[in-house]
Amino acid sequence: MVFTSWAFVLFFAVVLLGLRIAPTRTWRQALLLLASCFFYAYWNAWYLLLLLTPSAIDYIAAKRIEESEDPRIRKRWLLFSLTTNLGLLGYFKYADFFVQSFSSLLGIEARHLDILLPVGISFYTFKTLSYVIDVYRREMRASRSLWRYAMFVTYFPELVAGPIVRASVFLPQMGRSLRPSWPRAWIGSQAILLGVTKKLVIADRLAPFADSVFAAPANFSSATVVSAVIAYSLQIYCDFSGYSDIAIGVSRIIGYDLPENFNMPYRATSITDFWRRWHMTLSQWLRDYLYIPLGGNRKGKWRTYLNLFLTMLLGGLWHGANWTFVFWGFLHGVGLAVHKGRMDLIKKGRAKPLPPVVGWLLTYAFVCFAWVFFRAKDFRTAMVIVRKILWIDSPGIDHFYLPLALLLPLVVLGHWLGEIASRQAEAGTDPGWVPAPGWAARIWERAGTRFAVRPHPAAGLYVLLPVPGLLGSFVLTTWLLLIALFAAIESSPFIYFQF
Amino acid sequence: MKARSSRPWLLSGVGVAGAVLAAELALRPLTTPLDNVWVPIPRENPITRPREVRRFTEGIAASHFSRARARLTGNRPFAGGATGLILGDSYVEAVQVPDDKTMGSFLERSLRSAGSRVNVRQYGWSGADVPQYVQVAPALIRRWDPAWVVVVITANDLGPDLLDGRIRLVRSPDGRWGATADTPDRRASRLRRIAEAALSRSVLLYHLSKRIQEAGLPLVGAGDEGAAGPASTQAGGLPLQERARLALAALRDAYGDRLRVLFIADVGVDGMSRNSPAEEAVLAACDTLGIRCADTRALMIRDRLDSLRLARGFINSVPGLGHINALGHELAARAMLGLVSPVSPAVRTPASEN
Repeated sequence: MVFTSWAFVLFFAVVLLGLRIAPTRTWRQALLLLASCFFYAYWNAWYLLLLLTPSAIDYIAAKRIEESEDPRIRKRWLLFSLTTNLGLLGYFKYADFFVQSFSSLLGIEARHLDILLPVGISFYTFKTLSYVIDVYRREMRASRSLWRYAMFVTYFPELVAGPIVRASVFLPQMGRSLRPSWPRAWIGSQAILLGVTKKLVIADRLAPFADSVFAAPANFSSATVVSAVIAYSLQIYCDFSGYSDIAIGVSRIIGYDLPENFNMPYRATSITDFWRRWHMTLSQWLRDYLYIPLGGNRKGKWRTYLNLFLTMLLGGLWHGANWTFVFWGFLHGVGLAVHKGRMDLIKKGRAKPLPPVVGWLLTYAFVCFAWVFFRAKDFRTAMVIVRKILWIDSPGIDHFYLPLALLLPLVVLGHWLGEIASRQAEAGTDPGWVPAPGWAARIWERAGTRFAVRPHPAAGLYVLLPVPGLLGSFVLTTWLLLIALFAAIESSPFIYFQF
Repeated sequence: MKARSSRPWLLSGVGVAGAVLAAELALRPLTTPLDNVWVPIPRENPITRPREVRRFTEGIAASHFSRARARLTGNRPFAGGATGLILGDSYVEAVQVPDDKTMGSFLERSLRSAGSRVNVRQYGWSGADVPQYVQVAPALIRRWDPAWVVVVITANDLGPDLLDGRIRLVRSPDGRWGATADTPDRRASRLRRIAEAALSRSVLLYHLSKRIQEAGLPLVGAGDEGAAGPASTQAGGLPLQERARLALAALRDAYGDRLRVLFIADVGVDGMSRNSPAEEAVLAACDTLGIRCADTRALMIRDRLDSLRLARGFINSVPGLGHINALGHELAARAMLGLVSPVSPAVRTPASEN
């Protein structure tokens, strides 16, 4: 069930109605659990078992780990949980990939295993792993209630494509009443609206152009291929962050807060900065559960570079069972290590920092270059694109795509507004509720309309929270009409569903 | 007290109305509603002012139509020149390109530069199909007595509703093919008229209705595109070759020796040098029935390879997909040139309105 489908609208309406009429919190939680199971089973009912079995194992393992003082027993339960989770992930996501890779290496022909990839397996595996590891590290207590733990694992807004929520963030919220309220509905709806706009108006408008050029890059001119790569960079950002916005909005309406996942990534001035802004819940996960256990920056300069490199290499593999994803991770690993090395030189005074504009330009160009390998179906296609964007083989069909020229400034504007909001959030005392920028506040005051302006820095846009009034209804109606008129009719699947 | 509590809602209503009005005004310079009026050819009279239609969703163009929806070519008419007709669906309606870039315009100029005193009239109806071209034949022939009629066919024209659409092919007792149409349900047609009246006045409503249609939701008064009968799929059960033969036989019965057929191929951005099944079926039917046919495939592929140009796609659409662009129209006209016999300047037709 995709967030931008009518089926989901109906499903969510029923869930909200149920939450409204359910008499107690327990009933509401039970309803949410059932709804989450239905949401997942809508794809394939059998895979619900795949989701629930390791969850039950993790629940038991976490309790045993917590109860035991014997390090060997604790480690044994941890290994059991890791083996189960990574084993299932490995089998369903990577078995075919490794069989094919080894067989082609050995020059033999192996038949495809044709294993259907369970939706969201990479996301929920990381989610449950973090729970068991946190309990093992004694950073949180094991859940006492299987019921609540099952809710955490199956919670439908973030089940299939994140944000990757940790148990330490989610489980403490379980005491909330879950009774729908208007303020939450207002804030949540606007995050949803923003997400739908990003997905349907921007990402899905750019997708056909990027798809067309990436399918046959040799036929297009260098300029067209470069514009398609830029289009893809916007598409993947708006697709994934749009999904995250919708998930966050849906969850806010229900009553739980999910962590932000994006923070204007394309205004990063270094590759390290980029990974602090892009898919933040994944990069934090990789930092806490992979980079730091590998030694982080505690084992010397070269080991730090190696750890960064290995973390991103595995991060690339996490995205998909294909060597192009591994190479994408490799590129980012090298990028992070090189940046770290340069930062070390700057600290020692042996190099000067780049001007921010140059840093931004290099970072964006590098990220786009890496997207080529992320998007291309194989290395051969990727190399054709690389030759095109380096102007080595430039002749081809020229195609100027007007929607890109119109949507690019929109994303830039979103990043710019988000940057203002971010600075205010950093300066303000309450980062959750920041006053509107001066100019905006003056406009609203002069207009005499009561507005609560809630900056939404991570989403990259100010979200106006209008109470009934002239300007509020005007803005909202215009926004809805824009979606109705310009949303792509043929919505493509969310890119991160394949992971 | 009551007035105070209702004020925010009143202001909200004004805000909503203001946004709707602003959207309507913003869209007006970019687009014009175009009704899918069907077959008032006998009423085709000289006009003083053509109707302008603007589009921006696929291509950005202003196009001009006569009152009976003939797409004007932008060329000055020859008084007393012979008439050639081009019939088709949205490919001939061609709201994506300006008048002088339509296939009829290119063809008209080419024929005239070769010495023919000819006026090309092109009728395109979005979503039209072979039964509709057959149905309109008597009126067109009576009105224009054309020297030739080129019917533009695409893969969409061999769908399942040849024999069971709202307008469908029927065989008369003498074995000739003709077309018949369902009588519209009175109540539905009244609803349709009301809806069409609203859609013809508001650009915003027109666009929203088109969006709903594109999304596959049913809408009263939103045109007849692809309107098929509810129950049987007689032609749908036939193999493609049979459907092509049936369609072309019906066209030949309707237009006789005047008939020419042009197949608009889809060559994409890569490969596709082989004919599609629909294309093969049409060309084979042409051979069997002795109809002069042409295909744009070779021209499109040659242009793509030699000049690195695509015959489909616009600045606001995907390269190689969708309707044909100005180049596609030019190539279609070039393919038509070989089909159209030289026309005697002595042949007179009723007053042209171009």
